[in-house]
Amino acid sequence: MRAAWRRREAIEGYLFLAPAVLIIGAFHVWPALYVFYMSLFRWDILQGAFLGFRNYEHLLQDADFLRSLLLTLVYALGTVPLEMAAGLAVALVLHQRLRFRGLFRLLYFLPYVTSQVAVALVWGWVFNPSYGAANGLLASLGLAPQHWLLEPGGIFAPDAPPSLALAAIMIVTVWYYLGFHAVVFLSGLAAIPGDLVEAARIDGASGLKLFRHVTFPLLSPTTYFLLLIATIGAMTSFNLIYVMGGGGQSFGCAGNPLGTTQVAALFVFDRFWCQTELGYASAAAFVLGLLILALSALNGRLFGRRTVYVG
Amino acid sequence: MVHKVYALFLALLLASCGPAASPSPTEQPTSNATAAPEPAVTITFWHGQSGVLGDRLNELIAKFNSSHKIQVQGAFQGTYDQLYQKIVSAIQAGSVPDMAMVSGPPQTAQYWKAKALIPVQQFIDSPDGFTADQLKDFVPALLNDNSLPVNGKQTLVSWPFSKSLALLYYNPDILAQAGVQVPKTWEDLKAALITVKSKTTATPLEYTPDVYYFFLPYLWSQGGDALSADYSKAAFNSTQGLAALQYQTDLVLADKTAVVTQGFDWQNPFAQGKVAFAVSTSVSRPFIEQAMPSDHTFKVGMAPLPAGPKGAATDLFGNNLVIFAKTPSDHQRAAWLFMKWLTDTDQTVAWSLASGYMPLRVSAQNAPDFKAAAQKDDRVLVAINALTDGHGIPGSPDWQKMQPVLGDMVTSALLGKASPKDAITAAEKKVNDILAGQ
Repeated sequence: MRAAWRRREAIEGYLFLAPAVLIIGAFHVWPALYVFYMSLFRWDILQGAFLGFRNYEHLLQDADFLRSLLLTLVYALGTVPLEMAAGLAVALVLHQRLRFRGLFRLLYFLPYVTSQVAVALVWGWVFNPSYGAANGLLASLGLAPQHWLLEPGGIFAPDAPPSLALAAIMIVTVWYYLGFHAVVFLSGLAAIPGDLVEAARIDGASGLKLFRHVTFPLLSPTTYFLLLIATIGAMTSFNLIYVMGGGGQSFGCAGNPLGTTQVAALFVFDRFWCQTELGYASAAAFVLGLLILALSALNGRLFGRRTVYVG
Repeated sequence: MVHKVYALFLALLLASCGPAASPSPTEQPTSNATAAPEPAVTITFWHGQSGVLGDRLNELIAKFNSSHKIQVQGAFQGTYDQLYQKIVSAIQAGSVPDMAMVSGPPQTAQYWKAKALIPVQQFIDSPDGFTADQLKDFVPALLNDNSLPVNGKQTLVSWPFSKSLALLYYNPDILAQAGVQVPKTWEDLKAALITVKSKTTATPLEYTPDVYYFFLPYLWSQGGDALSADYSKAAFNSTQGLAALQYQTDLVLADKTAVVTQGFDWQNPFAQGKVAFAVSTSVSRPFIEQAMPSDHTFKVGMAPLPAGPKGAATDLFGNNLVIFAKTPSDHQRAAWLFMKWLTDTDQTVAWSLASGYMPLRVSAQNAPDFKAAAQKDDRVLVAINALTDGHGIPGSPDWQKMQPVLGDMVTSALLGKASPKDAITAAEKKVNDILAGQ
């Protein structure tokens, strides 16, 4: 009797799990496995010869792929810390009892709910070398105009990433995600028990000290969550970079100018759709997936353990 | 019974000509005498024509359906890029449509290499096709654009449909202000840009530096070519190639008469009357006119690309039609009959006038509707007259891999990142590596 009831309960449990398992299985696990399978072949439009791991060997010697990984890293390092820090700063301000707090929250969050393609096109105009507002601003400061999204030269050194084009895209990325970080940080701030802050105040902590020793540590679950998803987001970033790098327009493919905005996701897209090297692109996608997995594990190891949960 | 079927077929054929049709001699169905009756099948046609063009295409399809047993279902698949992606996916999945649009010979070559197509030549040579005389009514450059070497013989693999080519656009008001004529040669253009710069406040030229708008036409106009005839090696690292790259590098870096843009970013400034010259495809005019401020309009000037010592040359753009191999033979035949109908003089004139693409037949230029339109606005003739100078994009299945390499070659020279010589040498090596399958 009892066993039957248990079995029924188990079946019910599996039934509840089934939709999620089916969806994740069909749209994540199965494609990932299939990508791995494809990566073992020479695969143009049609499946070709079995290559074993030769696509992977080729990848490790492919200067374009290695550059795309470096650019991805530069992009992630240049955007994630900035958008998180700026988001936290905004959240701290908005956490105060301000007038029009709701309005400010809305304003900061607005970019995040706007289509990335629309955002990229508008910013493309801001950075237009002849007519854009960015050069207008430089001119009003008495500075020389720039090529912005058309400039492959590096901002620190001529041949070192990021190019001015990628740097411009990074600025837009930070602007785009700042509001999202602010709103999540705000909810994190709201979850900090008031009595802890009050106790610290009674003990004489205030300002920076209060932030450093109480607020920031207690925000750590939020910070960790944001760090994890922002890193994954940056590593797989595509839309903004694709559109602002001139992808899909005219006859180029992805990652203009001169490939200096071709981050890993764009490399995969380029090899898959523009060069129709489906097997090779699959290998690159699989490597990127593994790298993200490794980075997430590293994130967990470095920061996950320092996370303080209260309540 | 046989007579009945034949009579029915004849009736259908006449019906397809329509009451308003005034068939030219080339339309006489001389080779159709032994053609089988039209199959009563429904075929799917994937295309990438949206907006107004999509509406016009649907009207053409509806017109065909109302007069034929064959029923065509047009299915819009997104932009040309998306259409390509869906066809590649469909070939993978083994569930292709009956026919589709392809944007240019390189994609056709890819599908052909994947054994996904049957050559249109098969139908042209059949009783459903054309006699040699009838085929002569099609613009030769367009037939070349649709031919690939098959067993050493140029064979029509695809069939032309919406074709355009690269042209020089100009603002006549600025030209008048500067006192310059529409340039006929590359040297004329260079000089005109300098005059515009010195005599007006306009930007002389704005363009997006890909390989098509200056490099290839200039190269062809000097007698050079991008690839060897059998598409096995790069051929652009030549005196002509270097001159082609040097020419535009001089405009941008030395004369400072050309401003480099991205995508179609030149279009708005040009429409606002701030730019004297631009290069784009022949279908850009409505887009430019649409972007014009209503209080400041001008008549968009269109001219063929400038000529070199070997005459003028221009790239053929637009799309062609293909029939897939993995579809039943009666569907394939139906697809061909539809394609053929689409390019009848009546339809090609109607489509050209509605879309801005070029009519595909010589006889179309003498059709009354077309003549009337040309009389009203002679700009419709500019693209057609340039057709004889049209070069197809190289029909190599690897062209899509080479195109960004060549684009980067032009960009790096124009931005001063590499000398034209270094840029062209680096690109040649990469292209040869691609062609060698490395």
